Amino acid sequence: MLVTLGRVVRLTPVSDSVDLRRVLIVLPALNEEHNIDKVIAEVKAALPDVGVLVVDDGSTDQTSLRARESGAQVARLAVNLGVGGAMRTGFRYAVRNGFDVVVQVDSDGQHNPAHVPELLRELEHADLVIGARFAGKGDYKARGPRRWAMKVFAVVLSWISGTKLTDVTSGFKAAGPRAVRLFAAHYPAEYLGDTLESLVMAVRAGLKITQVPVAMRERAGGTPSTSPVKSAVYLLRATLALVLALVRRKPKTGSFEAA
Amino acid sequence: MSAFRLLAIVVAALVLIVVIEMMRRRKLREKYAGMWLFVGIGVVCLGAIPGLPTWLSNLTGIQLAANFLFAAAAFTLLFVVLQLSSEVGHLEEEVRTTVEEIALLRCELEAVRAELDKRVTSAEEQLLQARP
Repeated sequence: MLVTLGRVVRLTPVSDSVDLRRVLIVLPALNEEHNIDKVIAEVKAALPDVGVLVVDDGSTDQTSLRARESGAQVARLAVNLGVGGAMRTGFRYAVRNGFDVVVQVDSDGQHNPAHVPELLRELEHADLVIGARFAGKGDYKARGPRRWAMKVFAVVLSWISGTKLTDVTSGFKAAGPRAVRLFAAHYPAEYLGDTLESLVMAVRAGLKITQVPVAMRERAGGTPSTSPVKSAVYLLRATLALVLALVRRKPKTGSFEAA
Repeated sequence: MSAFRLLAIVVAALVLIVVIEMMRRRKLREKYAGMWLFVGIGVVCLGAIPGLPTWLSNLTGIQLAANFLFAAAAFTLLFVVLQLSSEVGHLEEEVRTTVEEIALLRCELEAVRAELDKRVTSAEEQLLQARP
């Protein structure tokens, strides 16, 4: 394992040592025509050599066009598959085009690409690094049932992964070579599959997960839903998703090579 | 023969005929057709053989033959719906994989097209330069 990792992240703990040409930034995007160009420009400014893939998750606006104009590779999904489908597309692209590391960044501008090197640095010790919102940095806050749910999920996942995780629903994640191969074959497309279930899957496959505290910014467009009914529905669906993830059988590995 | 029994046999025979006709016209795949054939034949037997429902309900300890039939119908339908749910899940997964593949292929096509354009342009330039 160290051999594969050593190819990507050489053993000095500075981000300059990461071969950025083998790093792919995946931006899952749904109707983000107003933000996508800014986010891509930011990524390119912070990390000049990385590959940038925008996965347009069935947008009805000009997202694909804007992304292409900004110089990113674009994979356009014909129908909306959700973040899970968009991310598996990203992982498959990475495997086929020789990228070792995939970093998921939201295309609404809430993740600062300047934090990516911090995530990459941690990949030296882990297969999956989460950019965590509640780990002391920044002032991101969730309220009510949503917040309790996030806390409970964090405790459960910390317990099964054996590492302290405080933000398991973060969409800011870096995946090392082993995680990229696993996720290219199996990345859940179901509700919250891209967060909770993918983490459970990674733990089951014996991958090491860790987290790095990051500050989140305000979303550039749209506001997160906060109505009590929506929070309650979120709580129930998320709990069901987590329970299902925990009782599901481990996927058979090695089927992607055949696909 | 009571009117009810006649009705039962007619309905069951209709189900059988529709299933066979749909199979014949390739509108029903054999894995579902098998199930419906089984149901159709079962209903025909229950309607046509006078003592069968009563005998079966005695066998299972259900007092009324009608209740036995309702319970059997409910379980059969439950099984059918469960199977269809699972099939829909498979279909969703297949559609998902296909959509992802198309997206990746389109992405690759664009990259190839851009590269081709670049090479054609540079080849044309070279030709123009080579010519006096």
